[in-house]
Amino acid sequence: MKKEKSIFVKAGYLLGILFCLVASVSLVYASYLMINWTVSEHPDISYYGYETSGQYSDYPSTRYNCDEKSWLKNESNEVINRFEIKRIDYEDSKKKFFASSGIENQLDAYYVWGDEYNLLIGIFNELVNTYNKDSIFFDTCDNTFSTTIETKRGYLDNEEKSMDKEFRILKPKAEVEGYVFD
Amino acid sequence: MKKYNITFESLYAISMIILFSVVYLTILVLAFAFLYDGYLEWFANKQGSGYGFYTGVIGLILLVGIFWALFPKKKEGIILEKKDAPKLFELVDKAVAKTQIHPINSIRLVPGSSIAVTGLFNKQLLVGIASLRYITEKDFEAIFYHEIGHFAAKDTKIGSFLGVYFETLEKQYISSVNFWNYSPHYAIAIIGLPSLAMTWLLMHLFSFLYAPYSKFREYKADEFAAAHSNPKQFANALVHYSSYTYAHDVIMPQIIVQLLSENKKLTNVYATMTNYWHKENAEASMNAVLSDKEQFRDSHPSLQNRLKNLDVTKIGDNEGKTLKTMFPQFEKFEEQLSDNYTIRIGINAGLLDRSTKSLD
Repeated sequence: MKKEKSIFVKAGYLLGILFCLVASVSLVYASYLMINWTVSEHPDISYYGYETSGQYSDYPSTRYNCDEKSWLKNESNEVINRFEIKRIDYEDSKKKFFASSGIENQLDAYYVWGDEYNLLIGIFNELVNTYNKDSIFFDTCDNTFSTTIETKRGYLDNEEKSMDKEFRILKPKAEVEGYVFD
Repeated sequence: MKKYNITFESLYAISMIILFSVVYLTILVLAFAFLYDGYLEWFANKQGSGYGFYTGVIGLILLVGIFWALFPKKKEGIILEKKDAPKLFELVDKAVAKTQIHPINSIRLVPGSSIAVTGLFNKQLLVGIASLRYITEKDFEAIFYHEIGHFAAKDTKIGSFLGVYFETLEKQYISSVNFWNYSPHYAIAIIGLPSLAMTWLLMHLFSFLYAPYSKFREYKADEFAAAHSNPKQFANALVHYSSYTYAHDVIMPQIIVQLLSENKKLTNVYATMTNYWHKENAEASMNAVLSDKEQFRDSHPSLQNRLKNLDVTKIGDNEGKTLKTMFPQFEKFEEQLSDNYTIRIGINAGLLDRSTKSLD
């Protein structure tokens, strides 16, 4: 009654054994990954993260209570206003420098220009500090504020380059006149 | 020292058991990981996969299936005592002694027609009540040796072990189907689709992988039975047994449905069925089982292939008294198990409500 198995039957069993083993190893690895994920650290949900990823664009604002921190918006508006007022003074001082003549007048006007620039920088820093008080609020409820900051940062960078350029022209003239710089 | 024979089949069985076990554990891990993901998002306010609601629901469906499978089904039938069928117990004891297997713990009369064995530690012989009137003592003896062959090869142990996995998948599949059926809206029902698809695929994969091994074990049990009775006696018994089970499972239900729709009272459905067991039905059953073609996913080989494996080409009759003569009060048992069979057929035919428990 004992019959010899055909080559196809043997091959079938071998294929089955191979399939079972490969599938088992793959599933063990999948289980390992799942267990690893489960026991890993799961940070608190950051709705800010959803916003920057581009998904659920309206999701965070529905969870974040914007009204509760509306005072931050008022504060940012107030600092922006002060920056704009100070910028008028700064632009005036810059114009006076370019209108001045004679090395002594030019140097005086340059220092006033520099002082106004530093005052403007001080207000710019207030803008950044206001943003840092609650960046999630500004990104969620008033995303124009960060754009405003970046625009002003660009403006100040250009102004600084402009001041450096003028000083490089002014310095050799002043040194010829006997002025000494640190 | 015991000598182990490593064959392709045993290696296949081991790899299959490993795979089924790993699948079971993976589903367990998946269910808990998904539930945890849902918990993270909805209760702990922590970052999970970002799909916590969906994974939470799927995890819950899978977990329901796992726990549900842990509750054993209510066992049907009647446990026989020696006084109920002394000759049957004698026959069983004789066969057990001859084959030197561990004793069988109990014999249970069950609704239906099959003769089978089951049990991981508690060895049980199941005798379908419908078989009492149709097979002879010699038929039963030969079939019983086939069943002992399963005990001897520890098939029932492997079967019980794998049965847990099959049942878990089945329960998870039913849980997924119920979720689909009872969801108030398609948008919600669709959440359960991944678990429905996964369990359906795994159920089919399991039965696909198990089928060749199961057939191999049947051939081995046939050879065991042929060796302990004789090939001719076993082949005769096998054909008659297959023939009446086919009649019982395929032809008789049609008659029962007709009788039920005519509002006939069926106190003893098994006695009623004998009135319809005439030559025409017997021939139809015999032809059906002998011409049946084997499919890859069948758990048993076709009758043709089983006879071929035994090198038997001619079928005869195992003369003798029918099995019912071993039971002094067999009609009492038939009546006790009658409603169970009738109700099952009535429900399947849509004639009886699913909650029907009795025909009184």
